Amino acid sequence: MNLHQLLKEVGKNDPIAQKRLFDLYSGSMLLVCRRYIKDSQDAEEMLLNGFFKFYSSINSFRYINEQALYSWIKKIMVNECLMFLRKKMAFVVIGDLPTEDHISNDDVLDKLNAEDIFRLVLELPTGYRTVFNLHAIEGWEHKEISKALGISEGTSKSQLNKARKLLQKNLSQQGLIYEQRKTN
Amino acid sequence: MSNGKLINKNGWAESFLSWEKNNSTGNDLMWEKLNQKLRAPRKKKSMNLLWAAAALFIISGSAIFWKYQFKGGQESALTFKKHSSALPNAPFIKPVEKAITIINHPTQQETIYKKSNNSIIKTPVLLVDNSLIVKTVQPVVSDSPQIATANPDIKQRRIRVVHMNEWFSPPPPAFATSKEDNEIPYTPSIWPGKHRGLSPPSSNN
Repeated sequence: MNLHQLLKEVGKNDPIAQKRLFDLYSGSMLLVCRRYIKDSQDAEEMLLNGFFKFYSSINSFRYINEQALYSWIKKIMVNECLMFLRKKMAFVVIGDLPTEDHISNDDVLDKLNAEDIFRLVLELPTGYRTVFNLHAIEGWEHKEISKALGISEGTSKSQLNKARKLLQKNLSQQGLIYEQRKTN
Repeated sequence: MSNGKLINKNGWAESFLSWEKNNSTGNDLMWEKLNQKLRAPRKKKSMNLLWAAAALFIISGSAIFWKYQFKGGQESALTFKKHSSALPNAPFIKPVEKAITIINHPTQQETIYKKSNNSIIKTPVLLVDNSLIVKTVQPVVSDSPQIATANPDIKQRRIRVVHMNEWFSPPPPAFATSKEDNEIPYTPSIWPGKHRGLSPPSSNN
């Protein structure tokens, strides 16, 4: 059974097809939720809510390819996580700091593997982590981020800059930078 | 939204996302939770349907009940008659009642006043025992009003009633001859007047 047929069965509320689709995407989607929400139980709750919405609205989805399906499910999950964070008022920013001209780059992350990046991202505070996830990993523009989170573009940029600085600081504390220098 | 379109130039994010995507480890426990969540709306829907049916049954039943309640009855908004508010121990003189009767057109009403039985009853009848009548009801016969005195031993004087016109005229001979001690003596007063032949009260009074 290919993915298109599987989606048709899921649209008919077939439990077996639903479980197969869940097994296909639940692992990766749980990582997506964990990237945004540090607490594992809350992240699992968001995963279940996202899949519930996905199965409820699957008949309105027109299958193109596997990448489109993955992006659609991921978008549902990210929106669920952002809604959760907004409900918890996780984006209360003390003040809009002026955007610094010097933007810290995250080239140092090129040398790290995915699991290390995931671990470092989890150590960031919620506001920094969310903006970093949306901009540096998902590829959202600051304008989109400001609309989604209800903050200004300047705040989004400053949060991203601070997140990058904190990442570099955490990397240096863990001695990863020294290892990179040695290898270079 | 960008839908995952990458704008970074380093490529670390791309490798990270591919790692994230390929991490597909199913979790049966989470699937059970999701399965319960997916099946719950069906139960909820059927329960809502049951409640709706019960509510419909109650509403239709009450509507039918009220319909039959007023079907054979004469009372309606137009023909409603206010009942007498007389109590069992109310006076037996029936008050005038006002009754409304519908004549031809439902919008026009004629007011008809019922006759009271007040005219039938001429005098109120008092039913009491004969012995009570003897004791309480006695004929009072008196020639002249009595003047109350402080001392009961003093013999009360008789009062002679004199007409105003004969005040200045001399007393008639009959009255003058039969003057008694206890009678009030005749004294002319300042009132002018002329006796016009009205006879004074007799001395026997």
